Formats: sequence, structure tokens, C-alpha cells
Amino acid sequence: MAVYTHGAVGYTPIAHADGASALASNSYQGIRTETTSTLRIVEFFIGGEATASTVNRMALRRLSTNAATPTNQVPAATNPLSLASTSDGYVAATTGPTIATTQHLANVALNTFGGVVRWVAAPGEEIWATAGTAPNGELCLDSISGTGVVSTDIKFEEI
Amino acid sequence: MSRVRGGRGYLMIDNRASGGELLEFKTLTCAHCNQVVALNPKRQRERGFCQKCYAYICDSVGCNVDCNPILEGVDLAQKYATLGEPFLPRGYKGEVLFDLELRDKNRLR
Repeated sequence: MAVYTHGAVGYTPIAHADGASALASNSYQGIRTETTSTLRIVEFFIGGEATASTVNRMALRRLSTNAATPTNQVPAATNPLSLASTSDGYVAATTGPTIATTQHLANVALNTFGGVVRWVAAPGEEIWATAGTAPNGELCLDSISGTGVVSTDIKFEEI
Repeated sequence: MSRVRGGRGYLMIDNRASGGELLEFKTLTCAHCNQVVALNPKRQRERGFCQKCYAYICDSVGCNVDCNPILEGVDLAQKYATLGEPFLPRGYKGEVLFDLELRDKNRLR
């Protein structure tokens, strides 16, 4: 299966509690499937870029309402021979998504003053999203608390 | 070679640049709720395991009372995409949030 990577660079997260709606653009990283696509996240990376000690709690969560008219960013294929992905990444939208009030898929904390987080799934242990529609079709990586500048990257495999 | 589905993921949290430490964990992903769990190497209790899907499950109550694999949720989400049912998300206790009649109907086919 083809693997794709989408990055969100140098953004200042806003602390979003579960249920937070209409997220401001450039405060999160979103990954969205289409009705015809299914993806599974195989890796995510968070790199802290704050200029002073700032602890962020970051979470990968599902969305109860998808972003309206997201500005799609085409994920890069890690293999140049792969077809273009059907799924997209985004960091901005006309109306931002709403975070679901459900179990988080992953929670990590880091000091964004140079801190780094990397999670890699073992085969068969990936995080799934499918079919486009909320709350199954999109995922969001953002902050629960802390507003230190970060860059984030999500790698996913499209099925 | 183990017949148990999945292996061990890897989580690295490196705070050395800010005077912290480097933390490395093995991780598992719950076969029911899809949550990533960093493994505590000092844990004494047995970890959850589903005999039906033959895979690791987390400690959430909802994941331990019934077998609702995330892969079945993916299947249902594709099949009933227009319903907007929460086939993949789970509640805070790991409980299923979608209509189980849809699952049962799908299993009987």
C-alpha cells in the first residue's frame, strides 16, 4: 500500500478541549478521507519550536463535525511511483472542524522548547479513518493544553 | 512467530533539549477502540486480550465487555457511510456509540 505524508509547519496551537468547535485555521493538523478512501495512520511526529519552555499536551482525536470547505493540501507520496492520494491534509478551512467528545486516540506531552515526539505503529496497530463522513472520516492532531509552537507530520497508508 | 495480531509500536518523547530526558516506550493499539497505549514496563497485571479477535485490548471497560473490533467499524462505516453513525469513535470508557443492530445485521449476512 502507498504511504503518504502530510506536514503542518510552525503553527501555534490553541488549547482545544473535547467538543471545541470551529477550530481556528493554523491551530491544528487535519487529515481527511473522501467517501472513496480509507486510511490508516502509521506514524506521527511532533517537533517543538518554542523559544522558551512551554509544555504542550497534544492529542490525536476524531471529529464530530468535519471542517467546512477545508483548504486541501495534497499529501506527498513517500514513493515517487505511488499514485496521488485520494485523502488530503489540511490546516485551514472556511469553518474549522469540531472535535468529538469521545476517547482520544493518542495523548502525548512534550516541552516544545526543542522537544520531539515520534510514534510509529507496528503493522496491524494503525489508527483508522474512512468514508469521509463525520465522525469516522477525519482526524485532528492538536493541543489539549499549551500553546508552544510546533510542527507536526502525519504519515498514513491509503487502502 | 506469534499468531497474535499486531506487534509493538514505538513512542519516543525526547525532551533533552529543554533539560528533560529521553523516554522510549513500546506501544500497543487497542483492537477495539483504536487507542494507542504506551506500555508501562513495570506493570504487573496482565494486559487485556480478546479471544475473539485474538488481539490486545486496552483497560477500558467498554473494550472488555464485548468484541467490537475497529476493523469491523471500518467495514460498517464504509457500508453505512451516509448514516453518520459513529462507527469508529468510542466513548471515554471505550463503549460503542453506534447502533448495535447495524453490527448484528452485518454479522448475520
